[in-house]
Amino acid sequence: MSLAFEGQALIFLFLTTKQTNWEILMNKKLKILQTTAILLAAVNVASLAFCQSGGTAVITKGDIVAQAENFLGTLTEAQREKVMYDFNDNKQRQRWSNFPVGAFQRGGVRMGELNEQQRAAAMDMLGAMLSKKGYEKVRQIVEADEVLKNEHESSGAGRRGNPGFGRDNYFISFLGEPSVEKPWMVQFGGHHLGLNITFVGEHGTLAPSHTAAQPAIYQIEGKTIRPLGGEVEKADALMDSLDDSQKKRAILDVRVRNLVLGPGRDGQMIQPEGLKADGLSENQQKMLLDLAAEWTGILDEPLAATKMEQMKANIAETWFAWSGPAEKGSPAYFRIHGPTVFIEFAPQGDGSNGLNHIHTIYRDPTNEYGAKWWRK
Amino acid sequence: MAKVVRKSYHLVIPFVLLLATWQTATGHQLDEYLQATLIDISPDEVRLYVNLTPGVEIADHVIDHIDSNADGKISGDEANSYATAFPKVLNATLDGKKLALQVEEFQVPEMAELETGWGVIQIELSASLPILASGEHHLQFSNHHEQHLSSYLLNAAMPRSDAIRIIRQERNHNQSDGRIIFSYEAPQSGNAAYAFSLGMVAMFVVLGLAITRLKRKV
Repeated sequence: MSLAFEGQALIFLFLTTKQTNWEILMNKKLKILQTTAILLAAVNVASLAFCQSGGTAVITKGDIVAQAENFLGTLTEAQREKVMYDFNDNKQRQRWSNFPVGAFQRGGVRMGELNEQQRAAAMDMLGAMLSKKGYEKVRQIVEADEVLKNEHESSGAGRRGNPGFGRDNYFISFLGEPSVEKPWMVQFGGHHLGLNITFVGEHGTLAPSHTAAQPAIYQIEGKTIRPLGGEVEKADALMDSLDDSQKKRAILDVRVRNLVLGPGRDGQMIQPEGLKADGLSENQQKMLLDLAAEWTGILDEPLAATKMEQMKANIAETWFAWSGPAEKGSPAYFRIHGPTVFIEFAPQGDGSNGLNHIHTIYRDPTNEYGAKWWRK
Repeated sequence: MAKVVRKSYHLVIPFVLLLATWQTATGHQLDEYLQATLIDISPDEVRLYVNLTPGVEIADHVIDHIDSNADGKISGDEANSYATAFPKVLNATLDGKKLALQVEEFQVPEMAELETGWGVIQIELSASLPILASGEHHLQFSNHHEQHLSSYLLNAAMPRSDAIRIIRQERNHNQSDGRIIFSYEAPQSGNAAYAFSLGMVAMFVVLGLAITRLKRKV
């Protein structure tokens, strides 16, 4: 900010000088000063605009890296050893899943191994990386799994052991050291959650990531919680806005019962299908983007805003597909597929319970794990 | 940066009232064998990426088929036998001609993992394609493996080659059978253009010689 301050001081000098003594302005030295002032003013305005628009370099340096380093600083030597991986460790990069830890072993440090201070630091770090809404969604997914664990135990099924449900069974890992310049990555995941957050300088991406919930509707202290409620409501609203001809193109004539490109399908991409968004009205296009933002908006606001601009630019080449009943509240599969975004939403079951267990995936066909920013 | 972050990971849920019950019947499609196939078409071959996920309620049935000596373990040979037998229940044709599918790679999880209903068997298959003529082609595929207890996903992968363009996909409702209609455009390569030019020169030389001979005869 010192550069900005200097610029402001010089602007002030330039303006006051101009008003008081025109002849001095003709002085060569002052001409240089004037030019410098204008240049610095431009830099000043640009830097202020960058800060106000949430310039990602500022956020990475000022908050995310600091919070990550703060978390790492709370760990013991042994824990730190467990949590850190080389940035080029592709095996660890792809080690994420929708399955509970009993069926799929993650790398990193388990939340259940952390003390209260370490857990708080871990959540502070996630809070800095995610938007307020995204952080809340992640927290609610984790709590849903705690509900599932309690239900599993009380149903008697727990006698066979916990398959790895619950808030203690989420893992954190780092690929590379937190840095404002070099690429690094944080993974946070367990049953029904796999966040892969990659930072490369001013850039950042959440792709690929998996969100899910079971139960997808539960109550805490009388308040109904729906971790993926926004996705359901916005998809219903978009479908409701389509006319018969649009619906006919959007609804696939096949039954899609699960994610096509879920965890384990890295590096693969399918042919787009359904209704192309160039056939949508401006308002419907906004609704489609707003629906996609339920995933892309999990990441920190400025990075999510950059992603939104990218999706807007490609909206005409984005497709929306639906499989299942089109009535509001029905357990139906849908997909959003554009040049830089791939999202699937798959209810796990039929009937009224279908929407109480949901799997979703978010990918970027052109930039999984931010590879286009770091791959040589 | 203005960001309000509330740390409530330790959210206590003393008064949790579940709206949902533990779903043994519907969750994760526990009584189904999910068979997901992705078909990747390139100018010289077709590659199939198959993920097989037996739900927990039918996992024993699938395990019985794999663990042929019933010793409670899945050996390398047993995994190999299961994977190599898999193409026999598939049918793939290009423009009506049968394609020979071969197993390229496979991965079968350990028995304990399969028993949980979360184990995924992965099989990658390939088939060489005959030299494609430019224009429209039809790739037909059907999978009738364990049909009575399976659900299917069948999708064309986004082609990696610019020469291939997917025109449309036609599938039956449960996606056990499908047809991918695609077009192939033979690239105008430098070699082809060079060969064509050489051919033309040779033709003119032969014609010239023939005309000279005829003139001499006359």
